[in-house]
Amino acid sequence: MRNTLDTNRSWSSRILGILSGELGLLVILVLLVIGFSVASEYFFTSRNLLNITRQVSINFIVAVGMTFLLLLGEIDLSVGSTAALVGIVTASIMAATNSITLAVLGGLSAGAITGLVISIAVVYGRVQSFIVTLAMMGIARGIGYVWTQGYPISGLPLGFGVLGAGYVGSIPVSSIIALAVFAVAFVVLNKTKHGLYIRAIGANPEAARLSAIKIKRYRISGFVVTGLLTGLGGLLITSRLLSAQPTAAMGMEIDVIAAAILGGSTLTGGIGTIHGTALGALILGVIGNGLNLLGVSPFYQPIVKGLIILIAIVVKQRSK
Amino acid sequence: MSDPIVVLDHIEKRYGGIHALRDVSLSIHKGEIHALVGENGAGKSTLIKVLTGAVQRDAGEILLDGQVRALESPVQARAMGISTIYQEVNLFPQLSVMHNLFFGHEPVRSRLGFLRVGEIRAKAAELLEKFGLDIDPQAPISDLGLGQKRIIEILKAISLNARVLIMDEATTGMSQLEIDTLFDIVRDLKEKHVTVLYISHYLEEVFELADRVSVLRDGSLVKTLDIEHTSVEALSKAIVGRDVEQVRMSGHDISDDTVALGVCEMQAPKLREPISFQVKEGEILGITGVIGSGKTEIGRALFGVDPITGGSVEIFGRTYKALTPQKARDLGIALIPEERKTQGVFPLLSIANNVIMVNIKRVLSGKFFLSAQKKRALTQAAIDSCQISPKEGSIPVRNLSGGNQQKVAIAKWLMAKPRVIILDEPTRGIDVGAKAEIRRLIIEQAKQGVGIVYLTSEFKEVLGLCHRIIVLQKGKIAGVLSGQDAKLEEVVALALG
Repeated sequence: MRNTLDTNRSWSSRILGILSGELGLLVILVLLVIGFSVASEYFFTSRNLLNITRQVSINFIVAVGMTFLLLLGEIDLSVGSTAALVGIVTASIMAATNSITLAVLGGLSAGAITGLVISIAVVYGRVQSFIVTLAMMGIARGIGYVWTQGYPISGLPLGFGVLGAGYVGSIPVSSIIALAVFAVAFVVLNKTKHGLYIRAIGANPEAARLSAIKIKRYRISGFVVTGLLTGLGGLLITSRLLSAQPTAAMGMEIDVIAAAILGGSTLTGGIGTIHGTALGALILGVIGNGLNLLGVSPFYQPIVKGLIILIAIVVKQRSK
Repeated sequence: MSDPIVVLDHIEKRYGGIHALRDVSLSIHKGEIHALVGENGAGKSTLIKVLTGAVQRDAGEILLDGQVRALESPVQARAMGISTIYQEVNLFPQLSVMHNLFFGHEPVRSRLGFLRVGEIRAKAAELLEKFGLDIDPQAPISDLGLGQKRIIEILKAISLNARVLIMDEATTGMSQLEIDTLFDIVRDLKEKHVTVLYISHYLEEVFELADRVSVLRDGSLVKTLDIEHTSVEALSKAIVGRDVEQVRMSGHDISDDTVALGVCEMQAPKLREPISFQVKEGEILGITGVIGSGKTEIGRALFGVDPITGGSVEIFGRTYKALTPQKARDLGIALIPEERKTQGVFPLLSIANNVIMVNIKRVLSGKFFLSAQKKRALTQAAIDSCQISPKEGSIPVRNLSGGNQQKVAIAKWLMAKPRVIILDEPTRGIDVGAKAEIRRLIIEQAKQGVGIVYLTSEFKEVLGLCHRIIVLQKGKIAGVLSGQDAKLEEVVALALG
């Protein structure tokens, strides 16, 4: 196949060029919103749109952590299992102490500790993160089953439900939390030394070492932060159902990684943005929500989502 | 013998706003060794890409054996007998020599694709012997030295019945011994009527090997000359377009005996013996030797990248038995590493982000946040200090030419105000103009009292630049010479003898 001559780019190649990058994601999002609005009268209402933000908030929060890891050239396949485990830890603490605060703190710590354990195996044990987190995926899920003997922990105090299901006015609390995570992550990644180093280490670990950067601490921080954010996600899931299920968040890692990759992160490191991940999560959320409103069987949704991701990646590759 | 095998006729190529090739017409004769020289950015790589079908020309024709060819892909080019050997080795390190040689066209038994291993081994051995090479066909490529790998690449092209062999900076990173062996093979090819297009920065090589040479400058073919009718000076002038004087050190005084860096019986990986030497403030110390003689390892040990397994290093009067990159930087040592793209810079990141990477304390506001203003100021200072072009700090470093990338690698460390700068092969793969600028930079720093350790395998570079020259051979110091008086033969004798 002939390469297109660079000066006389055909209109199709120009469009491909624009569609890659974050601007392209925004365009796709807008097109999807327009499409669904036309197809269903229930789509473009403030209630439904806010609903979408609530639906994607958990996925997005964990995807932010994943973005940091992907930037470092790492990955975490255990986020679903960890989220479920954190939910179980949180619910157990709440049942035992009746204190929501203690439970939240305990849950978040559990998430961070899981991340720390992973990071020690990866950084000091020098095992690839794919393998370590693959193992952790099983271990964390297993611990959850053993702890609960397979039964959900229910009967949690109603107050706890505010986090995942509550509203401030008409805005969902979990959307506000997601927005806060977005803001902090964006600032850290783009405006701090920490963020710069994370991007550098993923882009070129050898050069980072020769630039006298203490690499280990930044790699560890990536896993701990992801653990923390996964913990937050697990808290919100438990809060929403007011029950901790050992089977919660099965397959969450797929949606989380999909959001990040759709948003522009690569598996090789050094590339990725918070706003890209946000757009990726929103696109997935809009598709899911829109198809629901149109009455499309939920069985079709994974197919549609998978195709969208595939097409988006292909478009990106072709436009290079 | 002088009928053309490849003719490039009025070739044009633009990349967006950049006119990479302007009306280039070149005729290559059958069986000749034709050299192509020019600065980085002159269009050599683009011309090769057009000739091998990797990139499509905007205008002009390519003729092979007098017939116009479309050349739409490298596969087509290879099928027509045009093979290329690049700067980077394109072999499979875990596979054996014989599998690499016949990769893509292995003799197989039946449609199911079972490899005829015995035949592959025999044919490989035959090919290696034909060229007088003592290499085990079953050895993995990773066992071979760089020079041997390049030779295997050439043999691979031969086994594919290449009629035109393009060699793009093929001797980069090779020792003189390896280069001599390589050249013998190339001359052998000539006798077998293979045409060679030889691209190189090294004019001495061109004079040793080529029959004719073409000079590219700013996308245009300046002239094509017979080697016997020209000289290194004339070619340099044609390449650069102006007179180029070799930048030489004026021999400024370093009678001041403040020792910046003192190495005392230091042992490190790859060094066969403990090593001792000193670098004074303002002195330029050259450490040279063939590739693998231990210079890079000395640099890495001094910067704390490789562990010091014995002895100690004295830095501005204080003795250290162990170093880390952080400690070295805090003590005022800077290392510009050997591999630009993977060690010296972050190609994906902007010039600005590269610069602040080692100078983070100077661009912080508070403890965590980066100050955009300080970042801009420091980036501008870095760009000015080394005359990096283009002067825009937000450009990703991978978009810069090799010479400018190296300047970024140096500039970012200059901003850290080092007191000792270690440079490992700083002018490798860089055009004549940028080389001179970097030499000037080094001399300037030395005049300001910075101690310089200049590690290189290109012997000529240390002459006229260094106050003293240490010559390494196989991990040991073979000799120490005075920079002003040393002759090239002495250096070579110590390095190879």
